[in-house]
Amino acid sequence: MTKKIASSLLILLLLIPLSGCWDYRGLDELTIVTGVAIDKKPEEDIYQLTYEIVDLIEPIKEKGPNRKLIESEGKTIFEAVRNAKRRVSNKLYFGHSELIIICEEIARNEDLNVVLDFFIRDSECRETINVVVSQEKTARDIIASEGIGHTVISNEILEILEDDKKITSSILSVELYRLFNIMGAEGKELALPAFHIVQNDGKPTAETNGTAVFKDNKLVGFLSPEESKYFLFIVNEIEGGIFTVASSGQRPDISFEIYNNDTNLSFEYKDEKLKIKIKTTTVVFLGEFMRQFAPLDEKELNALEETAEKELEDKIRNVVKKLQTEFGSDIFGFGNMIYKKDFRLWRQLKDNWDEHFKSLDLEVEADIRIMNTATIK
Amino acid sequence: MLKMPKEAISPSQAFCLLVLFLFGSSALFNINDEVGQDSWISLLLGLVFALPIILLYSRLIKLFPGKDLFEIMKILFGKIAGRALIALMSWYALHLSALVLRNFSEFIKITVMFETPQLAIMIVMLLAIVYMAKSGIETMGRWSLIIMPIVSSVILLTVVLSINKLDINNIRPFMEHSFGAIASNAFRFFSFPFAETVILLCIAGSFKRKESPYKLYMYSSFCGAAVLLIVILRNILLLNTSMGMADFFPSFTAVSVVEAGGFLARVEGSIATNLILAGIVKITACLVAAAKGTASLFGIQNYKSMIFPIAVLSIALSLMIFRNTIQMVDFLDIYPFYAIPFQIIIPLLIWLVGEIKVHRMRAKDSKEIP
Repeated sequence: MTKKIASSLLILLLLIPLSGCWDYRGLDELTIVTGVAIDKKPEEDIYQLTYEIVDLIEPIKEKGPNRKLIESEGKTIFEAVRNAKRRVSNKLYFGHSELIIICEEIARNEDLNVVLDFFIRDSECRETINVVVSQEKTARDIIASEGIGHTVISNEILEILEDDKKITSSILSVELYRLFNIMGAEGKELALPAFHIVQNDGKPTAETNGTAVFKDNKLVGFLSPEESKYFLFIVNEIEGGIFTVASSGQRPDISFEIYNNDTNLSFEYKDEKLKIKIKTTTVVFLGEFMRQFAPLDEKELNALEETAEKELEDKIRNVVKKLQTEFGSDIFGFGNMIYKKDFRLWRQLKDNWDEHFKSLDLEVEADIRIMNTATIK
Repeated sequence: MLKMPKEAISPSQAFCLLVLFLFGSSALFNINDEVGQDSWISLLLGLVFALPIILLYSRLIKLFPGKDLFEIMKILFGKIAGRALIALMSWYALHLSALVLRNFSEFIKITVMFETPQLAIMIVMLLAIVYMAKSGIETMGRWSLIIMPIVSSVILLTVVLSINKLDINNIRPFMEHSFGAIASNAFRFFSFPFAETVILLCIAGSFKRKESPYKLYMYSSFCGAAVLLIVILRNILLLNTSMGMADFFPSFTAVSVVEAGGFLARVEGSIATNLILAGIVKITACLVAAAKGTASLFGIQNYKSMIFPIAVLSIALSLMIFRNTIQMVDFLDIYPFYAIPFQIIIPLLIWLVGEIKVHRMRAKDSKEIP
C-alpha cells in the first residue's frame, strides 16, 4: 500500500518537471530578428540599432514573410538590444539573425572587435552571421531599403553574399567566426563586403560595392568591385565571375567567364628582401567577343590567352600596389602565409611587418586556359 | 548479514565504460590557449606520458583480481592507514564527480538554457545518475555498451558533415610552440582525462577476471585518445585557433558552424545532448566510487545506500567550488598538480606494497594466489 501511495506521489511530482522547459519560449513570444544595422549618434556617442524583424502577424502563405523595422538606442550594444523591449511587446530573438551591417563611421573610428563583442559573446547569436559595411551615411539606409527577390532584405543580402563568389566574384563574404579569427590571426588584416544604395526601378536598392579594407580592425578605405575581384584572385576565393580583357586597344571587348581558379602563394626571403610569388591557374570560357564575327583559330586563341594573362598579372600587381601604398594593409594574408610556412622567419619579420609589406617585391605568374568559346567558333 | 552478490560486467562493457569515461568531459574543453593548434600533439604526448601509469593501474587489477581499490587498501595497509587512504580516494572521487557535474551544468547553462538555474540542471542530471548508480555497475556497463557507439558515431558524423568547411591550413604552423609548452600541456592531458581512470580501479572488482586488464586499459585508452583526437582536430580545423581558444566550449561552437546542404544546420543541440549522455557515465562512475569508498570507510555492507547522500554532497560541492565559469576553466591549470597524489602517488604506493606482499605470500604458499 505504502508503495502504491509513494509511487503515485512520485508520478504527481513528475508532472512538475515534465510540464515544459524552464527556458520555454513560444514562437508567439519571440520577435525574430533577421538583421541588425549598427549606427552611432554622432554628437551623443550613443549606439543606434535598427533591427529587421520578420512580421508574423500577417499571413505569410501568399506573399511570403513580411518585415518590419525596430529601432533602439543605448550606450552599449547590448543595452540598445534590451532597450528595444521598451517599445515592442516581445523580446528580440537573435537565433535567426543572418546579417550585421556596420556604418562607415563606426568602422572607421572604432575597433571592430569592440563593436562586435556582444554578437560573438552572446550564445543566442550564431557564429555564422555575415558582417558587412555600409557606404551610405548610416547602416540603417541599407536595412531600410527594399529587396527585389525577398521582402526581408537580410535574406536578400545573405543570398547575394552567398552566391557572389560563383557568379560575379566581387566581394568576399565573412562569417562572424572567421572574422574573429582574422582579427586574431598573425599577419592578416580584415576585408569585409561593402554595400551601397543605388536606384533601381526608381526605388533605393542595396547593392554590393566592393571590399572594405581594414587595418588594425579599423576601416581605412574601399576597393572597387573590379579591384576586389583581383583581391579574390590573390586569396584564392574565385569560383566564377567575369574577367574582361581588351584584345587590342584600350576598351575591353572580351568577356571570359571563370570556370575555376587555383592560386598558389609562396615567398622567398633573401638578403633581407622579401619576395612574394603569386601563381594563378585559371580555366575560363570565352563568353563574349565584341567584334565583327570571324571564326577564331587556335593561333588567335593562344594570342588571346597571352593577352589575358598579361592583363591579369597587371591587375593583380595594381591591387597589391594599391594596398601597399594607399592603405598599408595586408588583407591578402601574406604575413599569415609566411607564419604558416615558416614561423621562425615570421617572428623576425613580425615587428616591422608593415614596412616589410610595403616594400615587398611581387612576382606574378598567371596561367589562363581557354576551355571553349561557348557555342560559336 | 547477507553477503552481496558480486557484480560483474563483460569485457566489452568495461571497454565502453572506460572509453566514455575518457572523453566524457574532455570533449567539452580541449584546445589549450598555450599551445593552440599544437593541442593535438599535446594530446598524443599526454597519452604517451600516461602509458606507464595505465600499465600500473592494470597491474593493480592483475595483482588483486576481483578486488576493488578500497578492498586492496584494506588488505595492504590495515585498518588505520588503509582507512586514511580510503578517505583520501573517496574525497577525490567525490570531488571529481562534483567537478564534472559542474562542467556539464555550466556547459548547459552557457550554451542552451540561459535562464534555468544551475541547481535545477544539476538535480535533473543527478536524478538520472543516482538511478543508474543505484541500479548497479552492471546497468552502467550495459548503458556504456549502448551509448558509446552512438556517441562516437555522432561525433564522427559531425566531422563528415563539416568536411567542406574544414581547413587543413589551420593546424599550421606545426610545432610552433616550444617542446616545453607542449609537454606541460601534455601533462594536463595526462591528468585529465587519462590518469583519471584511477577512479575505475574502485569498481575494477567487477571486471571479469579472465580478461587481461592490460589489454583492456590499453585498448580503451587508445580508443578514447582517438575520439579526443578527432574532436580536437575537428575543432581546430573548423574554428581555427583564435575562436577555438576564446571559446569555453569549442566543441559546441564548432558544431554550431556545421551546415550541410542548407537543410541540416543547427545540430548543436543534439551534440550537447550527446556529450551529456557520455558525461553521465563519468559522473556515475565517480559517484559509485565515492559511495563504495565511504561505505568501506564506515564498514557499511551495501554501498548503494551511500549513493544518495553522496549525490547530495556532490551537488552541494559542485555549487560551492567555483564562483563562475572563468574560475572553473582556470582550475584546469591547477588540477594536474592537485591530482598527483590521487593519480600517481597513492597507486604507486599500493603497487609497491602490493608487489612485495603478494611476492611474500607467494613465497610462503604458492597455492593461495592463483
